Amino acid sequence: MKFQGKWEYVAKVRNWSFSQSMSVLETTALGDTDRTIIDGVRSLTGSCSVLYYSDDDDLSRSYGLDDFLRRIMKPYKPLVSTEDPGGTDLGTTFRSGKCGLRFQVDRNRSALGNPSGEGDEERYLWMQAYITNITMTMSVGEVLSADVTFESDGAAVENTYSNHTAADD
Amino acid sequence: MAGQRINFPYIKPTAREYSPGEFPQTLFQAQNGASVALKYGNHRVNASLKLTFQNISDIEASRILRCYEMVNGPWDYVSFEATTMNIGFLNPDDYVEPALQSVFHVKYHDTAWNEPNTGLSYPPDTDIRQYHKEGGRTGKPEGPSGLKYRFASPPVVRSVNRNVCTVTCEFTAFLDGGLD
Repeated sequence: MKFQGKWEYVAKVRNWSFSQSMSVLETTALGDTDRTIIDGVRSLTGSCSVLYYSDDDDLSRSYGLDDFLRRIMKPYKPLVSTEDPGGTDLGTTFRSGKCGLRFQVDRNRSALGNPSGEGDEERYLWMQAYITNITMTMSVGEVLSADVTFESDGAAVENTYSNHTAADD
Repeated sequence: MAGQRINFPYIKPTAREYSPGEFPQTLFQAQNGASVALKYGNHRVNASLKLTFQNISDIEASRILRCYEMVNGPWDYVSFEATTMNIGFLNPDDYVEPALQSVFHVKYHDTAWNEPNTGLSYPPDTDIRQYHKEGGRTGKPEGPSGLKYRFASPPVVRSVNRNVCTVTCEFTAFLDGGLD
């Protein structure tokens, strides 16, 4: 995740996926024999499963899995507050914020017979997204994990899966 | 006053709805249900046409709006002659082709004809495109109705997406009084 312009590892990602979809608008007119369409709005959604990442020896780390939670779960007041919320105020608190997410596949195959690494590139997807769901699971004998789903706000900021532009189509 | 002819933009509709209008008359119905019609004319009037243009471009939508201004402002009239308003209808002559006859089991008759199985007599077939156009000609014997289309209500433009609109137009075909 990105915090104040700097990428920070917040959790170990067990798996992740994303889905890019696009709606189409129908332009079929009377007299046509086949359905015709034009491009509509694209959307990018995804999910990941993360393990809680915390190194007990590294007290300098200030980010962790709870930063996912902080983007979606908001208290009525900061914890230090002793103020009792009024019944009518419970529906109004802090708004959710976006977060920058960068999912990466390490394609450096120097250890697989390509020592130079030439031609390899890191493939990644960087988007500004809202966390739309987080489900944390804790059970005895297992590492705390969480399933996170997110929806991108607009197009991916950058991605190395496709650098195509309209001119390439 | 008939006004000037304004050509409707050349845009293919995605839906079309037509009603041929009514004959000017007043219907009197007695308490026992017996009816008497007082006829004021033998030509139908106030035909209606509704066209939907789904997912067209902004510029096409603006052409329709401009047409509305040009027609209903000075009380001119809309002409669909040579436009794509009637697209999707077949030329009746095509029903002479064996391929189409086998699909629809009908044949176009340009003169009075008798149904071969029953012997019932029928008038010559008409061209449905002529009904929809009201004005102009389709090349078939029946002529224009003399009705003139004008916008019955302002066109409704619904923005769907960037540069994409859906426009709905409703027309009424009037029988103009006075000069024509």
